[in-house]
Amino acid sequence: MKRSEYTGRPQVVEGEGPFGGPLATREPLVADDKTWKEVDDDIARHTEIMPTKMWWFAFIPSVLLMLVFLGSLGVSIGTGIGTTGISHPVGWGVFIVNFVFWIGIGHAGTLISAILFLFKQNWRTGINRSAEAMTIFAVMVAGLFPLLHTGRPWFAYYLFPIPDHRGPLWVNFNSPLLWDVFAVSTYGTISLVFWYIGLVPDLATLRDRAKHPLRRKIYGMMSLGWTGANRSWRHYESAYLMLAGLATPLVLSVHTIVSFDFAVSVIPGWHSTIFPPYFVAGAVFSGFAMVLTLTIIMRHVFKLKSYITINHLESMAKIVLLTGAVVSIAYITEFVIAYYSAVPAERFHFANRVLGPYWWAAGLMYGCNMLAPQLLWIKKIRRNIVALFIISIFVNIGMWFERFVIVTTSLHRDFVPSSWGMYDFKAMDWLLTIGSFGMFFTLFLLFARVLPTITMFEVKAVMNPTTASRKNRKEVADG
Amino acid sequence: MAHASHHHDIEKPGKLELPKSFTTAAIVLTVIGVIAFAIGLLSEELVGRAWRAYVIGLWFTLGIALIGPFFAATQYLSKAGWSVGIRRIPEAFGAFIYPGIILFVVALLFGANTLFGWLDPAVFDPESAQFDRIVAEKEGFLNITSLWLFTLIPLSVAAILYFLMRKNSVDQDEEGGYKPMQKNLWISAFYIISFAVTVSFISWYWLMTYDPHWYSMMWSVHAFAGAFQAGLCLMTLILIYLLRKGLYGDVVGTEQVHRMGQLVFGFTVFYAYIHFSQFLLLWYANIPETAKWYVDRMSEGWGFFLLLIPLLRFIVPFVALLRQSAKKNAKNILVFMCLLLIPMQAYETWLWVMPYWYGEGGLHAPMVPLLEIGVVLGFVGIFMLVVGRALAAQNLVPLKDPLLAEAIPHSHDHLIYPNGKPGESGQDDDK
Repeated sequence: MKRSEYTGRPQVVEGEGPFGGPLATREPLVADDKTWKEVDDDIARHTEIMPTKMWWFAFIPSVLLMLVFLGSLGVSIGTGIGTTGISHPVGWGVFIVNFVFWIGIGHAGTLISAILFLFKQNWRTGINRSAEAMTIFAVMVAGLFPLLHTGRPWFAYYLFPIPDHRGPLWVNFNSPLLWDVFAVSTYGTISLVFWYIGLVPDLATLRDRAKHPLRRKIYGMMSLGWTGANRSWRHYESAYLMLAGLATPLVLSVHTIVSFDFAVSVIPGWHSTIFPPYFVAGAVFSGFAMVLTLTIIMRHVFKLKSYITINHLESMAKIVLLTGAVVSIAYITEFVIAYYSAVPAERFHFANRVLGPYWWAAGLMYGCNMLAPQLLWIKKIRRNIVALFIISIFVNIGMWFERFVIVTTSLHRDFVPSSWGMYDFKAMDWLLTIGSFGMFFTLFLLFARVLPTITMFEVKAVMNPTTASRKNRKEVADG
Repeated sequence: MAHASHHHDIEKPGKLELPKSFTTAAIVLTVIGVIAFAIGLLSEELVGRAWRAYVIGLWFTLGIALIGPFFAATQYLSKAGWSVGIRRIPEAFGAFIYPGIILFVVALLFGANTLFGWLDPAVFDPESAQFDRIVAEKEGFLNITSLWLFTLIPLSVAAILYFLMRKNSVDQDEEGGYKPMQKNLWISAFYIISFAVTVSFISWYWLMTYDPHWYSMMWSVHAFAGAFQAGLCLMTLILIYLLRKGLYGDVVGTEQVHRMGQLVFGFTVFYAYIHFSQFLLLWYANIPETAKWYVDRMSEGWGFFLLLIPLLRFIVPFVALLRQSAKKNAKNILVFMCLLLIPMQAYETWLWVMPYWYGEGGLHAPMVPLLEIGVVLGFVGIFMLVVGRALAAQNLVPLKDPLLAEAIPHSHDHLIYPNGKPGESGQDDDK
């Protein structure tokens, strides 16, 4: 089936169903009647040719931005975090906002690879590899922020409960910030392991295709001696299922614990019991928006439109719409219950959020997260790539501002009006925020160069074997 | 074996005929409920308890009734194939929404003043001795008009959407075609929204305001998580019952049981996640107003009953259902867990509703819930009558659903039929 013929609806033949009803056939997940060999060729190709102009066009600015990021991290270590806007009364500023934002971005990958795997959603095969890579890079970027926020990152090992010269000075197990250390590092580790396990059969394919001996050596080592034997596959599949089962609660736990950073406190706007599921839904929401942004670019740059079809994009758009609705309900619940609580500070906070000096940030948050995704109710928009791209950018912006609103507006006007203030966004705040995208994109582009961006063996498994295997095709052609 | 490619050999699903004993049992339960409720109403001491038992029974049954179409809606929206064969079960649950509305009107008309101490105008009157400043601040929410509107409007919208969804689904059995499915896709999307609003308001008004000072933003999610767990369990039980009766023919098999088992397991964990998150946040912040709910339920003898919740609603089913074979109902484990988890929903609602008596001495010690059990059984009886009839009224399987072919299993597992498949003659010529 040609990708231009896709409609996003199953094809229905009347009278063919089991009891004389209609029979629906889903549109194939891989378009353009590809064969298994073509899958290898199309996907492995970008790792085997010299980088294209398009790739350099994206890579050079990304590296420059990453240098900006590293430079500004250097300033925040060398001179101090006072170079950002962090000061009294907003002690949690740009670092925590970006930390929560990037951890959120890191959610879609494992959601796609683990939860959609458990739900047997086969369309995940087109996007899971790149989404998982995105997860890992997002977690790497995210992890830097709290580390730097400590001000003296060279003492970061204090966060680990190891017996040492510090004597009675011991980590505070009561603190959600410490839980974060464990949650994020566990999540990062499992995501990495899960991603790598999923890569092994494809790395072996790259190894077998390699012409240069050095290349064969490198991919050979990375593929851990994969032979593709029956026994290997059996072990592989049960390991993958187990890891999916383990990763699923971890997806939820990591953002839940990030939400605990705020919600265990007594600060109005932070002490919301709905925070755990609301943060998780928000993270999936922003993560999927980022996957949408990246895959729209990737399928174009690497010519993967037959594998990441418009149907894949539409499915992602539906998840964005759904999680956006969940987030919206959480927003509304917060307002209703803040009114219902009759606690003056709580009521003041939510009035201040939309009517106070940061009304514009709240406007961006609610506008981009609640209103913009509503366009996705319309099928034409869900299947319009330009519109999808713009909406996904809006969601990214909205979710960044959600974290900004939660962190800043809750702190800037606390219980004592004499200590009120504003968060002064300085050049350093901008450089850190924008620069972090540079690091993220640099890592992602490097990944796309050296590893197959789509899980080749899983894609092959969801293709129709009678048409995808070349041998059969020939037989059919020969009659 | 029955493949989607050649359908001629598929055994057609039968139609459910409600056994006489089922109807009799349902009527007996209803009568027990009516008698218990009447006894409660006639006694001055018990009238408060009787109305609270009424709320427990109503939320227990209506919560599950709302979950049914919600589940069906999620399946429509995700264009799921596997669940098409069992869709009529959750669909039938929704039939209880209609009597649910009437039962709510009865509670609003006759029970509201007994149930809700905050409906007393004296609470809002600064001159009065009963004046409560905190409750008076909430007058925009806690008043009789809002109570009526926010209870009945979302519920009626949900009922209308359910009616349309059910009608399309039933019409499809005659008409066939893709159109009814397409229509139900849209209806499902709106049903889910109305469901979220309905559950939110019912949980806030009818389950949270017995102590009108306490609040939790997680509350509506908590109420949903509990009802969803119980709803999935009831679907699973009915599914296994119908399978064992042989009523599904070749259309539904172990795969559906396994997936329902997975969902029961998954949403058991989800329930625990939601409830524990709420507990942890309230306990850790330790703000008197918000921690109070748990403090209350740990004092005056309630602590034991609170502890049973994590044990019986999470630990036991979690451990029992961890194995894959248990999710396929090996050794009837899935059935036993469902039989445990469904009453736990009523039990937890009892723990929500009973302890605190606003304006009547605050926290009460637990009482032997004989009256409550009686009234709840009455609701169960009505639920059985309505849902049983709805299930028997239509084909057990939406025969002309375009996705039905995907639901038909390719192999039969013997775990479902431990004593052999009913009505199966010795030889299976498909082998």
